[in-house]
Amino acid sequence: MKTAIFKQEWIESWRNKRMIWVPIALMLLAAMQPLTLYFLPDILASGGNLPDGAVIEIPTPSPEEVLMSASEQLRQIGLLVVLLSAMHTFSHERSLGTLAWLKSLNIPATRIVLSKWGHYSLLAVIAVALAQLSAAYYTIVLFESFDVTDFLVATGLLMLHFVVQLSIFFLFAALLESGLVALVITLALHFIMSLLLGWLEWDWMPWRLGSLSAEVLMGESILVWPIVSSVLLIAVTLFVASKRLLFISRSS
Amino acid sequence: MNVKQLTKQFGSFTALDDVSFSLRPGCTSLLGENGAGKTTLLNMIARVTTPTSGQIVGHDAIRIGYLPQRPALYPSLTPVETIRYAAELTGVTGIDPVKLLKRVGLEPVDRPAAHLSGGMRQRLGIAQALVHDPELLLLDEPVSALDPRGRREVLDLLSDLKRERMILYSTHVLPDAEEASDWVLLLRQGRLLMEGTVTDLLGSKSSIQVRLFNDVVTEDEWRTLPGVNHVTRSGTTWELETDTKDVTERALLQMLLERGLRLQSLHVGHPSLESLFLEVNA
Repeated sequence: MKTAIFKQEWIESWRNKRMIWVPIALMLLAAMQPLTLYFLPDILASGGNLPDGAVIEIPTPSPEEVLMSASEQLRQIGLLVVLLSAMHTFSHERSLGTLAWLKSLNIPATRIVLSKWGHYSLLAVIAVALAQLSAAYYTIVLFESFDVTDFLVATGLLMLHFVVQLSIFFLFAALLESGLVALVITLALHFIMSLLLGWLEWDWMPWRLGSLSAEVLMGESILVWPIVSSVLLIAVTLFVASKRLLFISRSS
Repeated sequence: MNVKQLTKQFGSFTALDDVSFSLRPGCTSLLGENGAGKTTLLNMIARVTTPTSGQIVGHDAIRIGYLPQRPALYPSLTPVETIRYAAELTGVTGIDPVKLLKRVGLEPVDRPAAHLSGGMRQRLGIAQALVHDPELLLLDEPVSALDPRGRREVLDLLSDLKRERMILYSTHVLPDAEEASDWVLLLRQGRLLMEGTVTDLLGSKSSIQVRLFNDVVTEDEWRTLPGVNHVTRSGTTWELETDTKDVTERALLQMLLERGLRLQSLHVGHPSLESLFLEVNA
């Protein structure tokens, strides 16, 4: 059956508790921002060792600014958490010999790659959705309400950003023996592209999605081209990953 | 299925060098020392890797069941779940996992594969390879992780399975090859040295392993026994290779009796793989 590997991924995910800890980690990360910003004056007062009579005045951030800072946490540490959870997806199966076994059964590489990618992408999308919900909840409770449409668009962009980064990681994880090396390359590429995009005005690049998901909360942004280029990049990475999937260690 | 001039290179290292043979019905054993190229050859027939040159004719059109050297099992799945998953992957319906597991001598324990013993994992791997009723069964060292009883059961199972399908299995133990196989391929350093039945390979050669309480007999003295054409020593055990087993054995016992030497152990069997290789090379 064509969905057997996809189902197996969810079973593994449930049994090794990845399905639980990834969303919880992202929810905590997202919720931490509104909580920290709200209690910041108290935190500074209690731990700052300030002289008597000192007054700290911190302007209350707008709900959009709170959500932007939560989004930034997710884009950086949250992405690292998701990629770490997927790090051994191919390398582990290569060492177990299960990838080679699937190949011996004539299971197409496309099915293997899409099943695994589908699992991790769906898990990331669910985790981002729950994380955004937790950020939104604390923002409304501790600050004020905000424009729901902008927030939903920002969440959608953030989800797509995670899926793009996962797809890039899947490409390197399929080609290389080590999941760790694939992870480092993906993060290095992410870092370099973010730096370059700070310089250059290539707003159509898929790596713009992350910052766009924050900017969209503050006003208008052109979203079409980064979305189109992201979808194209996902398609290309998955195609190449399927074509060049390394089933067995190169020395075997 | 025909293997034609198969070569596999890893950089400058040639793992398999111009190997050609036809796979016959029944059970064929792939015999060779560690590093001879057995796993590389099985991986290519199993479609897991591609040859550097040469081709395998006919393996794309058949169902292949493959048991790698280390069974490819998902650590979190129980034996029954493993069989169900393999059935789902291969589109097999109506399979009874418990029946299949019992066929390979495995009780359907409710424990994940990660917590099974080496022997149980090996049996589960064989069951997994049989799920889709393969026409060709490839087994890489299927009895290496088993205790003597498990080894006996798996060799019996191979004898049973070979009636319904072609089997190609690798081993570095000569008696195992003799036990279950109809045909033997002998690999050494990536080359196919020879092929034939075990009897073809061994001819009339036997091996007498002898160990004395007082190790006073020299190599030259062992060579004087009738029929002995090769003498090797491993620790305190001497291995005498002979074409005339009974004559040599009688003469050996006579010599010990005359010299008043006490026998610690005496084992008559086949020559070791090592001495067979030396013989074939010579």
